[in-house]
Amino acid sequence: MTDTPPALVLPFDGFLTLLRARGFAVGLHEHLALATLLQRWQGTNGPQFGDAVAALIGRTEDEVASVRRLFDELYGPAPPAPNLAVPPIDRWAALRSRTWGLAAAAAALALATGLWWSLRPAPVIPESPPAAIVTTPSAPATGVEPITPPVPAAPELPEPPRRINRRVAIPVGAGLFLLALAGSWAQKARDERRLWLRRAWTAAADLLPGPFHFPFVLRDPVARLPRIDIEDAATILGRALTNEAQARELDVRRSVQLTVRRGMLPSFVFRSRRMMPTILVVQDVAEEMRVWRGKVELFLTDLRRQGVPLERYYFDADPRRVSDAPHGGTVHDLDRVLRRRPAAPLLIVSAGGGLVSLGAEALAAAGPGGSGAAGGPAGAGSGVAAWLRTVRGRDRKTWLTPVSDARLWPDEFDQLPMQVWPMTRRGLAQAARDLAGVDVRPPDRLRGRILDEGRVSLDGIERMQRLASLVPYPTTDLLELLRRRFAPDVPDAVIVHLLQQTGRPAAAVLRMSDADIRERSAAVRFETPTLEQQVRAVLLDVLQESEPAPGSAAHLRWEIATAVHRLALADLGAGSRPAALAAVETLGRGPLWEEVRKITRLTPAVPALSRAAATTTMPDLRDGSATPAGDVPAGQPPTAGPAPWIWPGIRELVPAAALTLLLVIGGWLGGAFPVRAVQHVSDAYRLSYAPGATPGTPELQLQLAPNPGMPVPTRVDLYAGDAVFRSGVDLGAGATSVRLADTDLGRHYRIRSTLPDGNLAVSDAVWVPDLATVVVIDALPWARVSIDGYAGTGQPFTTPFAIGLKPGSYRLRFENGDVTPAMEQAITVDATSRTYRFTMPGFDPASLATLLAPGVTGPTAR
Amino acid sequence: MTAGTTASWMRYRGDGNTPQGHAAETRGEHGRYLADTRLVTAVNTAITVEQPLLVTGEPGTGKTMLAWSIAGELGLGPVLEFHTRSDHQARDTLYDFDHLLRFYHAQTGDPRAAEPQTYLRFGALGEAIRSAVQRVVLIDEIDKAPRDFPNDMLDEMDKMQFSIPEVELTFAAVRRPIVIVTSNSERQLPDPFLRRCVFHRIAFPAGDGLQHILRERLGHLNLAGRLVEVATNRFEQIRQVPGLEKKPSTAELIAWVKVLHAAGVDVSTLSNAAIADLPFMGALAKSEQDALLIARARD
Repeated sequence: MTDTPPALVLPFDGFLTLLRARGFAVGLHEHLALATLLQRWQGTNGPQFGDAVAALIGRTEDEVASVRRLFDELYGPAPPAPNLAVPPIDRWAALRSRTWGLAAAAAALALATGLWWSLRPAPVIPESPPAAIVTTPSAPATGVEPITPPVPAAPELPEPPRRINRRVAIPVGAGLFLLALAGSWAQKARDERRLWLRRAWTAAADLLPGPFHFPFVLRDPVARLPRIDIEDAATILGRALTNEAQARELDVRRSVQLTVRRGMLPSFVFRSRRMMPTILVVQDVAEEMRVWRGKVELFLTDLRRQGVPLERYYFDADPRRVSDAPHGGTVHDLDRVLRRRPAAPLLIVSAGGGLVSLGAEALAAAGPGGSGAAGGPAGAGSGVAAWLRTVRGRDRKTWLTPVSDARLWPDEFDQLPMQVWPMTRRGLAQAARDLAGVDVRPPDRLRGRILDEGRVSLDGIERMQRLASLVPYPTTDLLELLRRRFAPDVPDAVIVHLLQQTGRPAAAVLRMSDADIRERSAAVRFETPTLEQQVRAVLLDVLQESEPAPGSAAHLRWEIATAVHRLALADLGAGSRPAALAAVETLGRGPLWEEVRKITRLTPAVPALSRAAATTTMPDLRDGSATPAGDVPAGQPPTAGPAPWIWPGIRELVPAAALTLLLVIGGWLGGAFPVRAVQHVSDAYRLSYAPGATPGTPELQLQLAPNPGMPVPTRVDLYAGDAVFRSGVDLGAGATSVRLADTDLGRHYRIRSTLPDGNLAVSDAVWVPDLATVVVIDALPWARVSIDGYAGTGQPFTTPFAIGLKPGSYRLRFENGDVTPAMEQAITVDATSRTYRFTMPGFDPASLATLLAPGVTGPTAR
Repeated sequence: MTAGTTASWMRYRGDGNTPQGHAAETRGEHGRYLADTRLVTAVNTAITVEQPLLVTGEPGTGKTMLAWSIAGELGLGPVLEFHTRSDHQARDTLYDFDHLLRFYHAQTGDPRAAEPQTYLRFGALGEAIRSAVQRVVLIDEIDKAPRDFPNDMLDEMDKMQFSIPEVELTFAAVRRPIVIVTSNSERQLPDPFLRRCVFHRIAFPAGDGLQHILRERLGHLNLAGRLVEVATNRFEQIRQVPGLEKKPSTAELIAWVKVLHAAGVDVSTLSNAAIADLPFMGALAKSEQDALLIARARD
């Protein structure tokens, strides 16, 4: 049995493993160096040891900082223990959390009670209707007992009209009108003042001295290609030796050996010096290359620094004509330049925008299989063909494009007689091979890998959009800086993707839509707040470097950008929230208040901050809606004069009146206003019945009441029952009589006139008795009786009954539900006959009495 | 801490004090060199793990002075300097053998041709390796050397030993020299070389640091204290001018203050003048474009 030796654990093995995982080149050498350091380290200062480890392992400033940060994360002082104490139970927490709800409910209840109390209808106390006067008919002069016919009730007067209580309605209407007027006036005053303030602030902004915008000053604005890549390319280029005679040097050792061998005859041996041939660089300086200008310049500078001789020429979009200066130099044909150096490799650096103007068809036609005379858009087919011949005739040539994503390349690249490579690690190496004349044709698999190296993924685009949204309008240089710092794995061609998405591929500033900015920045805040904090810290550093001249408009814009980033950082817990908010608010009350509001709306909102902002004079600071006049600052600029007075005009009066009218009508229809019943005036007239001196001359006497209590009309209507009997009777001249016919008797009469309020001025109702004789009709055992010729109501009558009948003959029909057979009888009413008794056919009262009570004599009479 | 531990760790303190009995080693500059804590740690780390210290930073941040400061504080004698040129080879840091001179002597019958040591000249590193005492070697601006230069030094730097085939001699260090390598970051150094170095970047000093440097370096001129303060402030403003191709460094500042002092420029004038009107801008701007930018700059 063998003992397995325990696994050796090297000092700081975990830390070094972590570094290796993070991409640091950590190997045995670093382990040994750290072990040596530990062996001789006799200090106890942790941070100092961290500095030592960082200096030992890091190879650049960034690497040293990264190692130091990781060391602090792993071996830094432990964070304070979290407070695990359970907070005491707050019994009132639930109630307190519903304080607003309770308060709102109480307010609603109080409001409803108040409305009910103020708008409840006033009780209407109807006055007693005028009592009907029953004129008792005179008793007939006969010996039978008198029968008094019942006097029907006087017809009811119509309901008194209900009118809105003017004492309430008028003040309410006036109040509503004043309120509406005040509201529209206030609105007009506010809008006018805002417009005035807006103009005043605009004028104040116009007075700000220039410069008006500040550029982002970036320490290292251009993406420098990795030097190792350029070194690789330079190394490959170094394999191409020049044949020029002067590029030789003395080989001392071999010269000495040869001299000795020749008996000290001086002999010199030269050897070729490893000199690289001069490369003809033709660089595109068109506008679309502006994004890549720095990258290309640095690439060529680094290449030259590596000892690669370059002869540079420039062209503006059209590669057929080149100049010796980027702008304004002497223009030559490329063919002429190439003829000067027939053996020099040709390197063209361009994104290919100029080829688009030449046209793919022209290039294809001018190519090996084409006619060579096709005209392109410029009608320069022969020129294109000559240019292609010139390029094709060059032995060593390549085309480098700074756009690393091959999907963004123009189709015209396919028609070129040279290979096009991206400025990536593999692309540069292959371009160097082209220029050195080695491995010119890579296998398809390698070619595919080269072209895929700079492909931009959708995720990369999204990440860069999120980074850009935090600026929120970055220049391409700043975007590139953010890419390098926070998304170095995303190829720089992503910038072209972003610019193309905005529709302005050659723009210097990326301007995403407000919705995109809001959406992306909110996503960053929600998903990666730490990243946002880091990005904004970097942006603040950039802004610190970019501070323009104080007092200028540019400086104010710079202050806004700085304050907004600080505010966002404060949201994230880095910095003082009140101070950052106060700074933004102060700027929001300045000449560039609109810009402040716009940019704050693009910044992700934080509930706590929104509440804080809502308590300030800027409720619209974060996410409020703008009014047509704009939410201008409350204060006015010092340069503005006094604010003008604003008076209400027709545009305020008419809508206020219309609104009041609508409210009143609506309130009236809805019963919201208190109403009162306008009572009829009951004693306005006097009406009396006079039977007349002789029978057959009855009449009514009409006159005004001596004290009606209020003015009443003198032209009246005389009503019989509910119908007008006489209309337009004039009482102005005094009492008036109206003669009645026999058919007019037996009714209630009343004088009526309509007062202005719709109520009536009336007299008492007077009953004019009929001339009918009251008779009694009975039948044995009983019957229901219908009287032909009787105009009154109530038939059939059940015996016994009394009824007033005018003198004359009547036909009576008796029936009792088949108890006995029905029968008909005719009676004649006159002054003497008042009682009529009949026995139904087949009814014998005596036998019935015997039957019901044997031994008892039946009734003889009833 | 005992003397023994001091010898093995934290030998260098960066306070400019020399050991008793040793004279301060300088390149002729006045004043002490004060290093910050991290630089001190990096220097001591390099000494401890016996690796070269690679120092980068803007020109004028005291990279070269650091070597002299180490030599002075540790009492290691004058610094052995090697100023890199673009045609240097790694062997030049060790030795140079003048073949042509010997060839000439052999042709002319000079007896010295029989003594090959006559044509041998040691470079800074070679001199330090063969020295009996520990020395400080400065390989200045290594980024100016050809690409293969750093990699060609690796073996000798590791072993601190080299051979000279012309004379068939081998030298090995008795006391490993302290090697300080400076770079202006004009070119990326190869990874194998970097792995064998302790790295430190010296940041450009801020206000107080600059004033301290001026007082140390120009103390012998009896400068007015206000001149140092105002000149430093204006100098920092100039460095903030956007787009400068080459920001002025400490060396330019020292030269500028010297000129200001010599010309007797009034301090208040210096303080109140606009940047574009500051005198002797030629001492600070080293290109036409930078001069134009400064002339257009606003306060």
